[in-house]
Amino acid sequence: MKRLAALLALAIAAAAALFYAGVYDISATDQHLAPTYWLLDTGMRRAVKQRAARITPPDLGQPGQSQRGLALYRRHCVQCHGAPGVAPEPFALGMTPAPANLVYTAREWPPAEVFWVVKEGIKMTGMPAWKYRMPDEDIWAVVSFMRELPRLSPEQYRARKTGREDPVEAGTASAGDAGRGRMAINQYTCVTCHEIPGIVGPNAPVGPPLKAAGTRGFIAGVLPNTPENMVRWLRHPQAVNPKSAMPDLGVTERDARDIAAYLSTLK
Amino acid sequence: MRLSALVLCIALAGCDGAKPVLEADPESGRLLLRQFGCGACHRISGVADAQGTVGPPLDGVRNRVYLAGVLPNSPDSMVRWIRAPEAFEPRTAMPNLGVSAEHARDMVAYLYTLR
Repeated sequence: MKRLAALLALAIAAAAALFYAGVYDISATDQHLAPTYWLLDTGMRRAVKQRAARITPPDLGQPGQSQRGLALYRRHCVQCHGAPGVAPEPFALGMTPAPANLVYTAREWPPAEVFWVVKEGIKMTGMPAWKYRMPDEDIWAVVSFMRELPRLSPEQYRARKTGREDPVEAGTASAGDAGRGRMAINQYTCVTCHEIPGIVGPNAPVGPPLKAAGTRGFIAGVLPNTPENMVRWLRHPQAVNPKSAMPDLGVTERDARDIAAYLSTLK
Repeated sequence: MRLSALVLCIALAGCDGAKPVLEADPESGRLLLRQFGCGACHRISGVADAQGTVGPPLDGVRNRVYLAGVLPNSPDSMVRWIRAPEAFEPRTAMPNLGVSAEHARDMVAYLYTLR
């Protein structure tokens, strides 16, 4: 028993040493080891199944729904996933894991699971969450269109008309508060430029750290730190300071309020 | 004097024995930061009473990419910012305190030691 424990400890130490020595190749040009791929892929499939089980799809054959889905697909999906007879953009070809061919996905995955993945995204894959960019009806519209994908020839795909050509860029919100703001902070990738307590990520010092943001006197050195001003700043930094390096991320009013609520809790 | 600077370096574990930036005097900068009242608005480790929360904390400021969100950070640009903030951002809440070039260089030398 003692020997077994020693052996286990040794194995963990060896694994830790390999891990810390940087032996595993994280480059996108080096494919995963087959067992690693299986582990990640199976884990992902299981996780999606578990979470999508609670979702009941609405009627996916509503008039105009798949046309709207096609418009959204051309605007937001085809760049990475391609379409019948359409290759993904060059940047997407360099991704690991490679973005799935959705013609196959649409045939194999139940609508609720596709919906869940589009809405929530998948960590470390490049698949973004559309939750804060598309209302649920739009995501269902995409799912509705995807159901038709496997039956479309390249020629038919090209010829399909989209109908209304004004996909919604942002919208949707459920309950609003600091807790939701914390999730929204992740979704607008604030942590790639700011150190933010409670948010796991690069916490890079591109802009000022936001620890104690709730007690800071000024925003960007120019606006008194009030909730209204924070919303103003988060939504359109250039309207406050045209020279600011902080980009306009298309933050919705609702999301900005929630983010400001979270930031104000940081003392 | 040299010993105290060394002790300071080790205490802050910030300069790793490297030469101060701008070949200025970090210890003098530390005292100047207090003299100019920088701590009324900024939190600065090693500077007495520097607990202000009006502007951003200055610990680790050497790693920050932008100053005031507009000016790419370097020792030289920090000197220019300290001396005339309004030249880069007319509406900034940071006042022009009439800091001389030499004093500003010392301040920056100290701020660049902070992790």
